[in-house]
Amino acid sequence: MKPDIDRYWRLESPIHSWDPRLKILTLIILAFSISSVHHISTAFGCLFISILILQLTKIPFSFSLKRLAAVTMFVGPFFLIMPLTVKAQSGDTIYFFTHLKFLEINTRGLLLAARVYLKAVSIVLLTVPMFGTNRFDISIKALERLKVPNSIIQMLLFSYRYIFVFLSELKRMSLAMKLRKFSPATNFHTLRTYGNFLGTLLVRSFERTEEVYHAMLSRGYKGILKIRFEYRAKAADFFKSSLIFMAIFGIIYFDRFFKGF
Amino acid sequence: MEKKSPIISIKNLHFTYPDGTVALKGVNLTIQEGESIALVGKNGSGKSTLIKHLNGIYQGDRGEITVDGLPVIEENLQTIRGLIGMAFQDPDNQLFCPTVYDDVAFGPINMDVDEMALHKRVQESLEKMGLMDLADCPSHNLSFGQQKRAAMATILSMRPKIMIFDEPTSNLDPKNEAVITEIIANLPYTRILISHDLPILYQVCQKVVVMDDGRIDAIMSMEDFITNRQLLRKNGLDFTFKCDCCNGHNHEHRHNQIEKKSLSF
Ligand SMILES: Nc1ncnc2c1ncn2[C@@H]1O[C@H](COP(=O)(O)OP(=O)(O)O)[C@@H](O)[C@H]1O
Ligand SMILES: [Mg+2]
Repeated sequence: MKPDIDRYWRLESPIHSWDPRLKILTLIILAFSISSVHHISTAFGCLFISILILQLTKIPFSFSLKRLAAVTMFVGPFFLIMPLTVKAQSGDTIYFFTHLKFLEINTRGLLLAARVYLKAVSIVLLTVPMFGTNRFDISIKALERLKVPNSIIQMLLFSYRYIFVFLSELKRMSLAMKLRKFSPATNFHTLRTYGNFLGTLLVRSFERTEEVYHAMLSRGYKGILKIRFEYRAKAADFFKSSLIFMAIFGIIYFDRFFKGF
Repeated sequence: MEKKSPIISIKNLHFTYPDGTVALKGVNLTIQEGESIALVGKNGSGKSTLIKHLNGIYQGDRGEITVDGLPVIEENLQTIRGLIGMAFQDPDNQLFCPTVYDDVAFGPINMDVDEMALHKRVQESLEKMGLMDLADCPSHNLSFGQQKRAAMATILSMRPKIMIFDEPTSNLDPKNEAVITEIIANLPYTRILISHDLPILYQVCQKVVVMDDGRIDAIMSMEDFITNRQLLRKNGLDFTFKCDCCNGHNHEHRHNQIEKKSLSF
């Protein structure tokens, strides 16, 4: 249950050794170009490119698969909704049930949903090479070098930290509940207990984050995070970026000018 | 006694939390350089609130504080925070950086210590706390005892003049407790120690400040304090509960002394 996107940062791969600034910048541009894709065939191509980059990282595929669960939960319903709601255009194939005439199923909606899903999956998979191949703080520091404002950098770093505060509080409290032989049932008592649990969890997490803040102030924190890390981009780093830019160009070109399938 | 100006001086300090809780009701206290103070009192008596005023985390509604001659006001805060190393009760809250190394470096970096000196300080502090092997570890992967030691390293690296510890040995196993006690006892700084653990207080401090309900109730020598059983009991410090925790420490003669006195009641 740990939000450990950087669990595999110690592996060695061409993606790991890529300068974090160039890596993040290049992959973000790739992600944007994927999101602009119109054709489902190009979307498949994007998925292929994402998986290829992912394979280069040597991070076990099962680790990345877990990240897809959230996307599937979010985009999954589109497969149900879009075929029913897409406006019919000439050339669409529409199925309907003889007894439920109002339920029209438009296959183009299915295709649209598939395109959205493919793009979402390709982009989410990219977050693993983007942020999973360096220690999280170094990736975040790279963002600072890319001129992301310090306040956003701090928000990212501390929300990462606070997730751990929240989780450890959650663990402590659910243990306490188990020890007191709480067993959930479908009754008012259970509901109230969960309500109290949630309330206490939030209050405690808040109190603890305040204490973290006090500890930071005590050590001279003035609202600006001072970051010391030397990045050095070599020829190889630019080479890797230019390979990706060729792929980006390929995606856009194919998507605009290829009229097939 | 001495002509020297005190390192900490608190005059008539009042403080009310935003929710209306009146936590400090006129605190007066003077601490000389090199003194080691035991700050004791029941839960909720205002100990933690008081120490957070010393480096300006909270600012009193009324009263005056000076640290090393500097009034605790906005423009002196950065200097004063460099003078005071404060170890919080829960080490998990004191460790917020990605790795132990970064956490230990956090204070000195904020104090603008330069690169070479920084590395040396961090190494030294980690070594002192026996954490060299864990420098690159994320702190949330450490055991509780290791976290306590890491939290201590984070303030050692600031090289403060004054060190403040809030319950440094609470929830520790005897082995780590002994290690931490030993280190605190040998630090060459002015120290303020909040604890419910009499053996460590006795080992480290010469002077006791008793707080009660937001006020200073009594200031006395450690000798007077440990013979005042009523006061001990009132502040949840009756040593008969904790006597066996001295086992294995190298202060038998002191331990005997405590026991002899306890027999006289
Ligand atoms: N963040 C806070 N908000 C409101 N009241 C607080 C807060 N922290 C502590 N208090 C109250 O202030 C009083 C003193 O608390 P504290 O300084 O933590 O005592 P001690 O450290 O001696 O146990 C208590 O009554 C406590 O409930
Ligand atoms: Mg306290």
